[in-house]
Amino acid sequence: MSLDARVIVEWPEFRLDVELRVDDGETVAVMGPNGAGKTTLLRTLAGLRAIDDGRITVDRTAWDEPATKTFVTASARNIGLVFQDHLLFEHLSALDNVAFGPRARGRGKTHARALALDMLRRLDLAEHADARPSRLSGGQSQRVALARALVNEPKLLLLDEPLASLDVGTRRRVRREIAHDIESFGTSTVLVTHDPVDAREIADRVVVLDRGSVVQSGSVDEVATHPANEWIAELFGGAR
Amino acid sequence: MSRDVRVTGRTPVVIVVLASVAALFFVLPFAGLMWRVPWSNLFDVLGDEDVIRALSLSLRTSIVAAILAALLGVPLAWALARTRFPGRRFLRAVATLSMVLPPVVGGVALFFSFGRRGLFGQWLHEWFGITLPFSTAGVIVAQLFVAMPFLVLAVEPAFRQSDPRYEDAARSLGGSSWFVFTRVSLPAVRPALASGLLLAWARALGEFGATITFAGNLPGRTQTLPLATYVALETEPTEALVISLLTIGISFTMLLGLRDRWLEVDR
Repeated sequence: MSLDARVIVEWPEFRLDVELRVDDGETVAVMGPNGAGKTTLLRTLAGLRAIDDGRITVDRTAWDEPATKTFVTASARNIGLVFQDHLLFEHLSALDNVAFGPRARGRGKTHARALALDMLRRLDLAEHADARPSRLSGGQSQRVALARALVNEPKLLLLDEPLASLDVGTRRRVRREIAHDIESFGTSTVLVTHDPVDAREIADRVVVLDRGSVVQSGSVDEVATHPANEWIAELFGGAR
Repeated sequence: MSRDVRVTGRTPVVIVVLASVAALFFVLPFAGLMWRVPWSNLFDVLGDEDVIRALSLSLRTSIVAAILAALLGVPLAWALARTRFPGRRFLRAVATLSMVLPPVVGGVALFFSFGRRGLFGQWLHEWFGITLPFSTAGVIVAQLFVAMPFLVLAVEPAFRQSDPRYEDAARSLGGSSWFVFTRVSLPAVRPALASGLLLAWARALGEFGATITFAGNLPGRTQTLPLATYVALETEPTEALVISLLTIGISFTMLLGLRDRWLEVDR
């Protein structure tokens, strides 16, 4: 699946105007300082916020296009969403968290659980199937959240700082695992991160935002070697 | 021991005295009541037909009122916490007004709105043949009116404090708004719902003023335990004592049972 979007969101004192393309199977990292509009961009792609102008098109189907009054709701978009703080449902086991998506799409309990167990096995998490989220480590929680997001075979995977809440040691390992998971599923992915190492290891391409606009985009190496501004230079300088 | 005193300091004498007065104030009335209870023929009075009818009526109506309070109050609390619409603050004030209103006034208001000649009551009577005053349904309406605010006030802050991004996550997984509400929003407020149910039920069980004003005092139909207690106090004080003891027993049992099962968060 491929995404083609021009996202325009107007706030009283802030305007987000970003063009974003994600090709089939590609992973694009969205970076930028706080307040650049990264999370807002992700929320519009997820359908949790409508755009004020522009369009969001997936495989030539419009998901959000104010000009034609088109808006596909979040629940009908088939996206996978992973937050910084995993947001697993605390009253459900890891297995039932993953089974939530298929259940929400009308599968029976048994079938949904079978799909969920399958997914946990693929991510090597089957041993935690019965655990409550509070019993899981940060890295395990984040990967169960990834399993939950992937089980519906989403057209687009949206990751909002998925590693930011992990400690340094765990982060390196989970980063490698998540990079591997995304690679093996081949899902088109938008990754919001502030960490250039995430971008380097997980993403194919980087888009850098600042105050609502794209200031640079390209492969990780291009952006690192020819940074468009001081902020980017410093960011990637630290990563070398 | 001495180390603890050094760390925390002594409790101020004023506080010890006032707290003791407060504790006595709660304990003494029960002591006074227990002292006069006719323990020897307790079960004779408990077996009295009027007492059994009042007990049965009170349990049935208060439980139905508590369930209705949850059925209607939870959506109201959700709407107040999660949506924005003009008049929302006004609605919250109106919805909780009956908590601070003298129940008799609530009863009068119910009488002139849902009474047989009331603003809406006349339609109920004409179209559906429903007459609420002086009926068991009227008792439930009176109890619901005074009890639902307790549920709303318990549940609304819980909705407000639960992170709306859990609902976002559920929607992104394909959940319809109803699915998300029942599977994610509602479980997140379960402890608050349990305590709200308990408070609403207790308030319904104790309802007196609105009930006697709106539903009257008909034995077997609208005479609940509090009404029976009040009537008995004038004619048969020992019976009033026994019914009071019974009511205390029910409330206390429910309080303990619910606390162990729901109110204390597991782990």
